[in-house]
Amino acid sequence: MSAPVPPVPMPPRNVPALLAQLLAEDFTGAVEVPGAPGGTIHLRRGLVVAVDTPNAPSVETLLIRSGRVGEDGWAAAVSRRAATVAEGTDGDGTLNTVLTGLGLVGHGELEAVCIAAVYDAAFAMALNPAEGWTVHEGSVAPELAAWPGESPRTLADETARRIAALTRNWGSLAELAAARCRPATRVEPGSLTARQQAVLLAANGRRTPRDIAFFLGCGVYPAMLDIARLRARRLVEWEAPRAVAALPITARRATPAESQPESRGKLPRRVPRDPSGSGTTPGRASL
Amino acid sequence: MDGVTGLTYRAAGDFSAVGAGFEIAELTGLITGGLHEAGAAGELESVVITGSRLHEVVQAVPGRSALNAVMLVLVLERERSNLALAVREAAELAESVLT
Repeated sequence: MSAPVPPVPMPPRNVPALLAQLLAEDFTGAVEVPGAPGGTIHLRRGLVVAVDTPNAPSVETLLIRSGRVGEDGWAAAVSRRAATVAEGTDGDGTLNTVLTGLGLVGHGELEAVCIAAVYDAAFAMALNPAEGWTVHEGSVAPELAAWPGESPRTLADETARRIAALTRNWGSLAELAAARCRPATRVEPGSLTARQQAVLLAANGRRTPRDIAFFLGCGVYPAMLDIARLRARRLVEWEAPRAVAALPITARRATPAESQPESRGKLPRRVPRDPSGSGTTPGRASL
Repeated sequence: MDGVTGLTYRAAGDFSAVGAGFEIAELTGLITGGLHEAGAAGELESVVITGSRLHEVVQAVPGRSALNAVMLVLVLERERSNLALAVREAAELAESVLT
């Protein structure tokens, strides 16, 4: 009589299921999620301590761009940290303790920024579907990380809530994430909060909510919330994304001879102003 | 909690009556936005909600970043608390939350 075959464990179906499994295993290491742009989720004993993604500001960016820590102070902290490593006195010299020890930021504020960065980066990663993952056991987490870490279940629930909240109030998250918004009308600054004024000033028609988040040193989700609320008050606008791929190519294909540098015309030269002072150049329409 | 997203950073005591952080953030956002639209100047300092059983105090926490607000939220049993004193102590407590 043959022994019963143990059931083969089912592979996790998505990243939240993988993180739940890693929590049960008390896993310490990282989960690399490829994609556009993807990111890395750092775990300590199964809890999420940091999430790195190009789609969301890092703790460093949040601290510096928001004005919590000056650039000179940050440079001093990094130098002090490097010195402690070089001296081999690494015991209590993490960047976290150096920043608070130098009085550059409070314990509570740094802790809040690290926690907020985890949730914001998870949200930013979730805006694009994950394309698989790679688990790296024992990899070292960033120094500026949440402590002791966030529950994967809480992180997944909050990410889902954020996506649902924006989708319910807005609709297409892809359109909102790609929106290069600009002020829609002249606004009396007094009718806005300081935060709304800052977002409106940052919205210059070239920045997406992600760009605004990096510029102001705030999260991507808060920036998207701000943009959505300002849009609801008709204070910002943006053009609908153009379907570039669907447009037919009508330009004449250049021959190889035309693409040679020497066959191109001369570079345009600045035309001197009209000495009469009329402000226009002869033969050209004034703008 | 975060004043924009409502993300709860830390909690102590029996906080079951506080409710969801994002709902408090939406409420304070509505109040702040409405006040500014009505011509009020300055930033929100605190919101006090009184009930027959509970009082809720939402106190802005002063931080180094003017754009990233943190809120301290307290729920008090009406029968066992002095609201005026609680609001004053909440303001004092908020001074030390981020240090």
